[in-house]
Amino acid sequence: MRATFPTYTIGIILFIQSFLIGQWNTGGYVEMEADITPANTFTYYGYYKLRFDLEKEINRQIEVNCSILAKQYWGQDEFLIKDYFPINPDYEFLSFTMNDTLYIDDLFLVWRTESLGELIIGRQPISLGSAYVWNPTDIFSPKDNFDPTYELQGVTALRWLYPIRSFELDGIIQPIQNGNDANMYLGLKGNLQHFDYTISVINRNYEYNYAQPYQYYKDTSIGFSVVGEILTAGVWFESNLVVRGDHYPDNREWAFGIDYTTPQSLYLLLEAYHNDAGAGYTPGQYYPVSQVLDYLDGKIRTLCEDYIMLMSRYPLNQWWSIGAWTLRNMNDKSEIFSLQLTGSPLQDIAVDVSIFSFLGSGKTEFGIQESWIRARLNVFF
Amino acid sequence: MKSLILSLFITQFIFCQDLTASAILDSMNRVMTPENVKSTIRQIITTSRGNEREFEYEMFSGSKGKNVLLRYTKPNVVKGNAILMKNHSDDIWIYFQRTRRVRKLASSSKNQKVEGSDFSYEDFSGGDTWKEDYDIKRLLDEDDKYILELIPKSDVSTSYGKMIVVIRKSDYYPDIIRYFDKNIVHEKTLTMEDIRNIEGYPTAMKMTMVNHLEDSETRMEIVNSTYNISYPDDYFTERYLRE
Repeated sequence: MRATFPTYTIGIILFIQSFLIGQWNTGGYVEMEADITPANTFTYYGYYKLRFDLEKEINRQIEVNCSILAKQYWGQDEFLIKDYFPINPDYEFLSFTMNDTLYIDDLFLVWRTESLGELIIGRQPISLGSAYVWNPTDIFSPKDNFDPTYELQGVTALRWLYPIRSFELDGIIQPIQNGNDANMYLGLKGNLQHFDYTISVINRNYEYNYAQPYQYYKDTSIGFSVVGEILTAGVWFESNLVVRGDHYPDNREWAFGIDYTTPQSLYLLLEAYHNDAGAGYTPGQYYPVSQVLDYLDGKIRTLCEDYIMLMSRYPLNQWWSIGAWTLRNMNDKSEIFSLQLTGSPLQDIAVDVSIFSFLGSGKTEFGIQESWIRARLNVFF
Repeated sequence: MKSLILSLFITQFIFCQDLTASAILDSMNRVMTPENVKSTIRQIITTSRGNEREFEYEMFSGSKGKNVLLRYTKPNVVKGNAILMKNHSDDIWIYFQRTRRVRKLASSSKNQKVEGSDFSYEDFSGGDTWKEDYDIKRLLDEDDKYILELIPKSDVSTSYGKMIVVIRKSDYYPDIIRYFDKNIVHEKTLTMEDIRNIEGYPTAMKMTMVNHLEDSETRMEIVNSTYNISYPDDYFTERYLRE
């Protein structure tokens, strides 16, 4: 049974009150999104979201952070996968549902010591890598390809950041669901002139077999990430090469990009991405449903192998900017094109209106989708 | 003989003027760039339409302004966001609290507005490198003020084509800095007011940057400031940026 929004609200208020007694620093936002697909018939859907952040510095060494998130969907909340991906008609019944949620997104403790560095314990935000859209070295928090700057979900992990001279060691352990193993990341971050680089060893567990849940494949890989600048333009490269894998042996994944701001303040960004684990494309053929499910589940970053993103943004004034971006699937030649207006009409209020147009034939990743308009309003408190 | 004396006099005059310009800049840098500073700053941005927005941030500056860390505390929309500028703004990182991500900015972004204000990232880099980055010339004094003209050297990456710095003779503290773009059009003027002595250093409690091209202005008011502070060796790193 669905919990109603008032139930959530009462629960949150009680929770908040208990924290306020302890003089916690608080903040957060209310987000409202409306989506309209003006195809043959209009489809309306969207959500209300409340994020409430609490922070308490217990002493100079220990800090506790908590973020509570409530999200309630309205309008259409069940979607057929066949309307968004070209899959075999035998699987037309497959759908995904947007469920109302109320959960603790982050709850973590930070313990800083001079001798042992920084220890972060609990469900925490983790963002790794240098690339803008696709981060091959980040096995914990896959980004939304349509909205790569959107906040990422918390990850239950133990993280240790330890400075060694001018380097920083970054170790992360994330237990997996069967409790027998863990995803692991060990990175060494350094700096050379205007370049920051990270070398990492990654151990990832995949639950690929849907018929036998909790059966895991294991990949061990070497990651490399670098960001810097050449001739005043920003450049980055990030790769992850599987050296021993049960599922994708020798899998190569990489992204590189460049960005530049012209003297007239026009911001330009280009990023290219390749993933061996992506699906190939045969004209007229459907994509394997297992590949689509793995993509929706975040196990692979993209449906196909090769993508390019091109983005531009121009400030209209202090608070408003316009932008355009395109994301192209280089395998099936389909494309998303988006125009975006973002701004802040009043202090602590942010607005984002985007129009998405999909180009390509009917049996391609983006060509199958209908145009779409999205309006998002954030009120920060 | 007369011409030789005249020639020597002119050479001596030019030499002295150059030396004086350099010495004035040195003196200005001595009072402007203490080793370390920590300040809380209120920033009010006024748009060309007269709309105002107020921000507040903590500014940590180390190694005589070579490294600067800004951490926003107000308003809620930017609370927790932080900017780290190292090596006189040659290396810039931004931390977004909401998404918990760090992005490195390229030098081509140095001339961009910081959170919509009339200050660019470059404006935070301080005057410590002016001596090596600019050709400095002393112009005619105005009453009790020295006037310096700074023209960037050809190999220096800056969005400004010229700067005019007006410096008080009494304490070598700059009153006004006029910024000109690459076409030598007067773009911005920074005015320092309410100069008080804090812990032995003259400190402008109010600074106003007026953008003449966009008809906007940004006022900065120092809420509190101290120079008696030291930072750990790794303070100006990505690790502290995330905190």
